[in-house]
This record gives sequence, C-alpha cells and structure tokens, in this order.
Amino acid sequence: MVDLTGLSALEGLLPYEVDGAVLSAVSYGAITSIMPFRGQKTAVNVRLKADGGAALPRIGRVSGPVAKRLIWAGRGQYLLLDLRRGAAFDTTPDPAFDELAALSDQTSAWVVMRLEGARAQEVLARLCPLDLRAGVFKRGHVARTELAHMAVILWRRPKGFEIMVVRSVAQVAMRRLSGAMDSVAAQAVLGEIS
Amino acid sequence: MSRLAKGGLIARDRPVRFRFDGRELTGFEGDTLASALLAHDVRLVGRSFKYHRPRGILCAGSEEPNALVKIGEGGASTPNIRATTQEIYQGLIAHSQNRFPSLRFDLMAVNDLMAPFFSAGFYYKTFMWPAAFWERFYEPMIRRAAGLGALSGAPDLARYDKGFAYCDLLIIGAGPAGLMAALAAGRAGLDVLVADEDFEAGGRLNSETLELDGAPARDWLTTTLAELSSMENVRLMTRTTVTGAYDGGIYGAVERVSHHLGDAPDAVPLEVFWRITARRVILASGAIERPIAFADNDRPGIMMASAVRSYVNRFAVAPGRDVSIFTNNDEGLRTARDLVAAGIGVVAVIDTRADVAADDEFLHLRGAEVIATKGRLGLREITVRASEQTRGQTRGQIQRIKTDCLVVSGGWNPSVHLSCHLGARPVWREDIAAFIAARGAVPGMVVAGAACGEMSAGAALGSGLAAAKTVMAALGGKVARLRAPKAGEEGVKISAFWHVRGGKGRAWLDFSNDVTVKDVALAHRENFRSVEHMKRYTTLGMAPDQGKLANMGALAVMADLTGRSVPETGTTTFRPPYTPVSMGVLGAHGRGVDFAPVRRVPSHELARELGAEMVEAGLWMRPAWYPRAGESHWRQSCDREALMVRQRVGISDVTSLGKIDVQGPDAAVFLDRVYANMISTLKVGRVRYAVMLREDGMVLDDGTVARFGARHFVVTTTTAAAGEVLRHLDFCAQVLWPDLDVMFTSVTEQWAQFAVAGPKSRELMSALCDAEITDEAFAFMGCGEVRLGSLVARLFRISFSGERAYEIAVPAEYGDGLVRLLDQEAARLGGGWYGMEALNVLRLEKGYVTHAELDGRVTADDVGLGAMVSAKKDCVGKVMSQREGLVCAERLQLVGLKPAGASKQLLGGAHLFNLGDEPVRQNDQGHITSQCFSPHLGHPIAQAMVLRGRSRIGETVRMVDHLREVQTLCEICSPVFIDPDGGRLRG
Repeated sequence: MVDLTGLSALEGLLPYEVDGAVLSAVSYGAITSIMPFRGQKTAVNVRLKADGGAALPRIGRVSGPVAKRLIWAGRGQYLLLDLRRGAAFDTTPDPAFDELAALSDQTSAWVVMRLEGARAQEVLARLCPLDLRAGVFKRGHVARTELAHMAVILWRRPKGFEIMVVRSVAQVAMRRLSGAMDSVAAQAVLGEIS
Repeated sequence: MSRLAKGGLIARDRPVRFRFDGRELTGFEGDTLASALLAHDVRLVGRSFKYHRPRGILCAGSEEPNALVKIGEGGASTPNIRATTQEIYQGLIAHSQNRFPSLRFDLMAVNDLMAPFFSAGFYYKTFMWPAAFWERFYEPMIRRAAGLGALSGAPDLARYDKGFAYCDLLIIGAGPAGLMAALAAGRAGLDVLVADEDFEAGGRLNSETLELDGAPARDWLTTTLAELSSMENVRLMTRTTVTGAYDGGIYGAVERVSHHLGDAPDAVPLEVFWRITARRVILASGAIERPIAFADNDRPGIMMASAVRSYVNRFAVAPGRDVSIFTNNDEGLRTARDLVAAGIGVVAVIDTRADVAADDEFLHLRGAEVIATKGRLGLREITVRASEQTRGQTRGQIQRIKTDCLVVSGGWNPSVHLSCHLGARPVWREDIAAFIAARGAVPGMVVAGAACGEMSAGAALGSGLAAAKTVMAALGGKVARLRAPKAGEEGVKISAFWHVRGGKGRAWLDFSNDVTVKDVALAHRENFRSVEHMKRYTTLGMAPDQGKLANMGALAVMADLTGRSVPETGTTTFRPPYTPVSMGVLGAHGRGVDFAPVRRVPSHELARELGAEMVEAGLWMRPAWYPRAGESHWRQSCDREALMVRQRVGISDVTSLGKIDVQGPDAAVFLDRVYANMISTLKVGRVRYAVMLREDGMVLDDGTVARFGARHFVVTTTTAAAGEVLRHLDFCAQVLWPDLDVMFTSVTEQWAQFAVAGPKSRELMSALCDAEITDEAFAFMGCGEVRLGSLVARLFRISFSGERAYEIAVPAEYGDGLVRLLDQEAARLGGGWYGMEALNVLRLEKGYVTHAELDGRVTADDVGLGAMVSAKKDCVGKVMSQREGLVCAERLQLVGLKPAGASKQLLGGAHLFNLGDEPVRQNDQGHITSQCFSPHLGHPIAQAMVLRGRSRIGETVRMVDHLREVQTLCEICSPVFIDPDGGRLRG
C-alpha cells in the first residue's frame, strides 16, 4: 500500500521578510467551494451554523472566525477555509448537503499567502490594480482580482492581507510579491535618507 | 567660474564631482547638470538634430530642446537626458551627443552649409529616384547624419517598477497654485496626491525673488511643505511627471526614483510608472516661456528669461557677464533687475513694445528688435534695430551690442497639454496672447494657476484655493478657513510679438528638430497650410520636446501668412506623453521570465531532474520530451517514447487539461444542451467523449464527460480552450438558460492528473492502487474512485494514444509524490515518461484530433464526428451547423496522408494539389494540419483537410510547400493508422 505525502507549492520558500513587510504561507487544512442550489441559501446557512460556522457572507465580504473562514468567491460561489486538516466536505461527503449546494474540494487548488506589515498595502499596490486604501477596501472585504496578470482572491486582515493564488502559479506569485517587497523597502530607505 | 558668491538653493557645503565629455568638474548638491555646467562657463553642450549647429542651454526645465546628453557609459548609459532636469551626483558621467569627432569640431556641421538643400520636405523631393535606393542607401544615410543620442545596443539592465495609486484629488504641479490647493484639500481631509516633475517642490517660488505677505516667498513655501508632509492624507511626489490623462480619471505618471543617485542599492528601481486613479484633478502645471524667432537665435548663450532667473536665483549661477535682454513683455525688465541684484551686468533691454515707459535704470531700447547675432560656439554680439531714444541719447537705426548672453522672453504658454489629452482644444485669451485650457476639457479636472492664465503669484495662489473649493464642493468636503497669502507681483503685460521680420539668417522656431520660419513659409507656399499638415511637412513639434517651445511661434507665423488670427489657425493635437517615457518603465514587470506568469505542472520538478525539454502550452510549461543518454536529437527521444507506449507503458502529465465540476439538479439537461452528443443517458461511473459546438455551428472544443453521481459530472477540455469553455458555460447558464439549476467551477488546479498508457498500464495501475484494477471494475470508458493508501484518487479508463490507458487524478499537493511513484513503477515495467511530442505522434497514429484540426473553421462532420451530433435533441450550434454551406459536399474533410513517392517529407501547413494541376491558389485541394514521423509504421504520416476527402481514399495528390520548396506525392488514406477496430484500446 502506498502512502503519498503532500507537498506545499511553496515548500521551504516562505516566510520572506523585509523592513515593513512579511510574506508567509498559510496552510488551510481544507478549502471547499460551496455553490448553493436555487432557493437553498437559507438551508445552507442553517447547515453551516449547525457545523459551528458562520452564515454565508454578502457579496465581496468575508464571514466567520479565522479557523472556519467563509469568503465570497464570485457569482453564487463561496469558499470555506478550514484550518483543520481533511475537513473538506466532498472528500468526506456530507449527505446533508447533497440537495443544498454543489461542493467541490479545492484544498489543493489554492495556495494562501499572508502579507503583513506597515508597508503591506504599498507592496500590493505595485502588483494589484485595486483601490486598496483602508477606507475603501476594509477589514472583511474580499475581492477576486488580478496580481501581476494572475487571478487572485484577496481579503484584508487586521495587519495586512491574505492572498489566494492557484497552485500552478504560486511560485511566480511569491516571486513577484517578494520582488515588490524588495523594491518598496529599498525605496523607503531612500526616502528616509533624502 | 560663474558661480555667484552667495544665494541660491544649492548646498555649498556638499560639493559633487562629475565629468562632462571627459572633463572633471565640480558642482553642488541641488545643482542640475545644466546649472553645474553653466557654473563652469560651459555654454556649448550639444549639436542640433539636422544641421549640427552648436547649441547651448536654453531653458531650466523639462521643455529644454538643446541640452540633451548621454548619462553613464557602456550598457548602462541612457541617451537624450535633458541636462536641465538631471541632478548631478558623485561620479556622474555625461557626454554630449550627435557630434563627430568632438563637440567643438563636428564634421557633420557641413550640413549647416548645405542648409539650402535641406529645407522642409527635402527628402521627399530629393531622394525620389531610384526607388530601391531609399531603404538601402538614402534612409540609412539620413539617419546617420541626423539624430539624437544613440542607444548602447546592450540590454538595459536597470530595474523598473510600476504601481497603482488611488486618491480623492490628484494635483499636478507643486507650484504656488498646486501647493495652495493641496493645503486646502489636505486640511479638509481629502486623500491628496501632489506630483511635480522637479526634485524640489515650489515651482517658480524657487526661482523668483517674490514676496508673500511681506516676507520672502521661500518662508511660505517652507512652512507649507512642512505642514503638507505632516499630513497623513497628503502624499507629495517630487521627480514625478504626470505624462498622460486617460479615460475614467486615470493618469499615467513616471517617478524618477534613482536617476539622481550614483550608487543606489540593487533593489531600487530607476523609475516607477504609476497609474493614478483620481476622483478629481487640479491641473496646476504652470506655463512655459516662449522664445521669439529672429535670425540665428539658436546660438549658445541665448537663453529664456525665466531660465536665467532660475539659474541666478535658484542655482546661484551667472549665465553671462554682459547680458542683454530681448522681450515683448514685463519679464524682460524683471530679469534685468534680478541680474543687477545678483551683481551681473545688463548691457541692454531690447523691448519690442514702443509704448511702454522707459526704465532709466538700464539701456532700455523700445520698439526695438534683435536682427542678427554673432558667435558660432558662443554668443559674442547682437545687432539691434532700434527706433527710440534712451537716456537722452539718440541711437542709430542699427546698432551692434557686445554681449555674451541674450535673454529672451516672448510671453508665456500655459501648459495645457494634459487638459487636451482626451481631445479637447484649448481656448485663446487675447490679453495674455496665449491658449489656456478649456473648461470641462477633462471630466473631473479643474485648472488652476498659470495653466489657466493666472500668471502672477497672487492670482495663482488664489486660483489654487478656488480650485480646491470647487473640488470640495463636488466631493462634499468641508473647506477649512484658509486665506491665500498676498503677493505684490502684477500680471504679465504683453504685446504679442512672434518673430522678427527681414533678418538675414534663419530664424529658429523648433530648436529640437531644426525647423525655421522659412520652413513654415515653404509649407505655406506648397499649400500645407493646416497646422496639422504644416507640422508633418516640416516635422515641427515632433522632436522629444513635442514642440513645447515651438508650436505657438510656428502657428503664429502660419496665421500671419494666411491672414488668419492665431485662434482661427488653431493648435495641433497634444497627445501623451507630456515628456518622453522610457520603454523600460512602460515594460516594467514584463521583462524576461516576468513577461507572463508560468503555470507549472505537478511533474515539473521531476521533469527538470530528468532533463526534459519543456514547451509552452498556453501559460503552462509541459514536458516535450525526456532525452536519455545517447540521444542527441529530439526525434530519437520522441520515437523511443512513442514505441515504449505501444510496447510497454508510458506515463504523461495531463494536468493542464481543463477540468470542470458540473453539479446540480439540472446538470444533465444543461450538458445535453451544450454538448452535441447526448450526455443525460450516461451512466454513473462511465465516461463519454463529447464535442461542443459554437453558436455558429463550428466545433468549439472536444473532451470527455465523466459521471460521478446522478447530479455530478466532471468534464474535461483541451489545455488551450479551458478558459474559453468555462466562459462559454457561464454564458449559457447566465444568459441562455437562467432557469436551469446548475453550478460549475474549475477544478483544474485541484487535481494532478496523469495518463498511464500501454499494454502494461493495467499492471502499473494495479501496483499503485490498493485494490487490483480489473476490466470489470474499469472497462473501457469507465471511471470511479480508487484508494492509494489513505488517499482517494479518481481513475478514468480513457485513452488519447489508442492503447489501453488510464488517467489517474489525485489532489495536486500529492502530485509530486505520485509522479515519483509512477516513475519508479513504470521503470520497473520497462516504461517511463513521454512528452508532448510523443503524445502527438500517438494521437496522430490513432487518428485523434486536436486544435490543429479543430481550428475554428470546421464542423463536426468535417472532422468525421458528424454522427456525434445527436438527432434526438437540440444543442448550441446545431441549427447553424445545418446551414447549406456547412452540409454541402464541397467541404474540406479530415483524412490521413502517407507519402507515395520518392520524397517522404510531409510538412504541416503545406497545401495539396491534384496531379497535373499547377500548384496555385485556384487549384488548392486542402492542407496538412498535423504531421509526424510514425516510429510504429516507419514513415511520416499526416492529417489533412482535403476537399471531399472521405470520398477520395486511395487517390494520390501532390503536397507542395511553397515556403520550404518541398514537393511530395501523397496517398489519401483513413486518418486511423493503427488499430482501426480498437482491439488494443479495449484490451
């Protein structure tokens, strides 16, 4: 009997730190896409709450505690990010959900990075065309957007952002983010000298 | 030394050493290269574009047309940098341009003697014959003779960055108007971004001896800048030029981050390109002083009045010892007073206005004009035609004045450029004889200060405040109580005067492109009278300075010649960028590997370890072949891999194929409508090959549909069309049938998927999975879940090679683990990896199609899949696919080809002709879509689209590749070259 071991797409590459910004990997045990069927949103909410989670968030918003985060991920689609390993719904199918929503395991599909620090927003603004000002893109806000030509989902955290990229480009995204971190940090030093 | 003993904003305690044309010089921190050169009496700094005329520093800002230099040496050098904006730094190396062998003695200056032949449009007329000479001889010759600086030819290794910025209010220009607006908006709490191209904020407050509220203007400036920098909601960006205004409140800007540093750390970019999105914009870009055209007005030593005040007041540099001034407005006398205050001699003020009061402090010649100048490498003397008496002296009509610097002021042109980038035209204001920005020229933009004609400091401050109030009224902010300081300065009194008539020499309008008054007159004579025609005929305003100094003068000359007014004549179109933008910064983030993101397949690491050659497939990098010891040509590897699959077992990474989870009560109905064949009848645990049509009836994509539950399907797409198919499904669900309850999402990234193909594939799969893989559990086109230890994997019995084959999918994070296991197990069975090349060979041998055949122009029937379009139901594209032209016999149909003569070469893209027909377009019988060498058959094979192809099996046609000049006789055959009855496939 074989026993395969999982490998993170960013194995050994993070954290990366410069003055004012830290990029680290976040390992969610399970990421599940939830797409409620017609008229089933309330029932899905009841089911989610019974599981100890929060209700589905509004469009462009995040809900739930850190350990069981729910994020809006596009039209009629939500992602449940569970810190517990193996908690993906459809690998251990929950028949209670069968009639309620389309579930797909996406644990391997997404890689999550956390960008934090005083200059996190400035770093992200080098790569992402979104208006990231704290008064506009607030805590609890989430967006599907672009980061250096890669599709990403990002949301604001108390001290920065979490950024989800698809697995196949994770290393590219990491390299672009760390490059932007270097550039911003180096320019900040210039600003302080002059 | 021409450095003044005191004054200026330079740091005299911080000397800076630099080199110009090999000469070691010293300036101070705060100097530009131009001011530092003037401080050393270096007046000759460049040669002109066409005539190689000696040129000096004319201006003190980004409008400078003459003083273009190369900074740096070797590969890291940058040509065409304006010495007037380049800050000096320790070790700066600058070179003059467009001269040979030296700046003082330039052989190409012979062009100046030949000027009569080089008038506007000369090469259109001169180099007409013979036609073939144009590209080979004339153009290279002209390009060598005329020019600016040259690129090093080495790759630009500098770092560039780009970024996105958002603000409530973008203020362009940090002069009096801009700063006043920033102060008001900043105090009101708006998010303000102030951009200024200079390295010091303040605009003309740095260059003039102004007073505000009775104190030096510098005091107000210092206080204001301190307050602005203390505000968290205000970002002041110096060295940042807003280069263009675009739709939706978006502005492009270039920040020059380290052009002023000799030894910036590695990570510091040279420049950053900003895309700024602003809710409102205040354009406070100031004004540019314009020259007056007169004979030989381009000599080193002739300078703009505002520039001279900058050099004297800001940089503490004397531009000359005996300075003369030529003006049509009050700036002339103001300059004279500043010069005298700095201890510099003023020999004459030549005022074109006859009706102004004489200033007894100077030799003030009224109603006078400069009609000639002398001094080839530096001004020595001017000739003045005067008609006035001054200081009781009667002057003759013509007099010569010894002078080493002639200061010129022809009035001001408000910098309206950015207000015109969306197509608006500026409007004429007679009192200042200038165009100002039109109201509402750019949505959300308010114009303030000199840019809207408010020429005095007081008026500019007031208009900056008013502009901020306008913005606040629109955005709903509350204006803090704020008063603009009072300035004693008065507005400009000007009487329009554009050029001196009747001089003997050429009078320059465009210094950058060497265009003179005579050239404009010639354009007029030859009927290029619209300003746009004149511009293109003479090349006026087309140089790097984009006519900042030249345009107004030229159109005034044209207005004069046509008898129209200046506003009737109109301006040419202002387009982005405002100042030249380096290609490097536009391409920031896009160099080398950063050009596009690269998608890695799960077997990427192992493929690298095995030395595989990779090939791009969309954004994916896929292994193309895996060379082994002794294999020096890709064909050797490819042949071995293909035979290995046919004889034993091969494994291939097929993760990049699109995978879409389709779920919901209406999933089956939905798939019936999007696929041409019937899907709803598919049993759970079965897979079906399926074809999808476009609305117009052509094939969109092919793939497989696997059913995992009553309401759960997984469909696959080709790598190339994955995004397109998902978009198409989204369109169908949202627009065509919003009533269907179906959900889908891409799971391409979730699953690492590998094809295991060959007679020994079942053995390999059984060794891998916990339970044996039997033909009962996994018959051909079966699917289901299998366990690999604790892991649940998906297994599909499908084949793209014609062999018994499986595809196994595991969550992508286990991909690398599975890859290594597969590698080991395959090796045990005498098999191994096969890449894209072998994959292509295998599918061609079996007669399967890819997007080489499904090129968007074929129907299902054309490629032999007509029977798949179900007659029992409707689907997207079905009706359109039954159009007369798509079902007629005269269509290209998919067939196979094999060589039938001495030549065995089959080439992709080559066309086919009937034997005996001339190989011309009219006789075309079709073309080859894909070809390969079949190691199994021992000769090349191909797929081709041939006219009525299926009815011509056995016929011989001639392949002609016109490009590679190859001809081959081919036999038309079935596209299925191996195992036509599918015995190998089903096992």
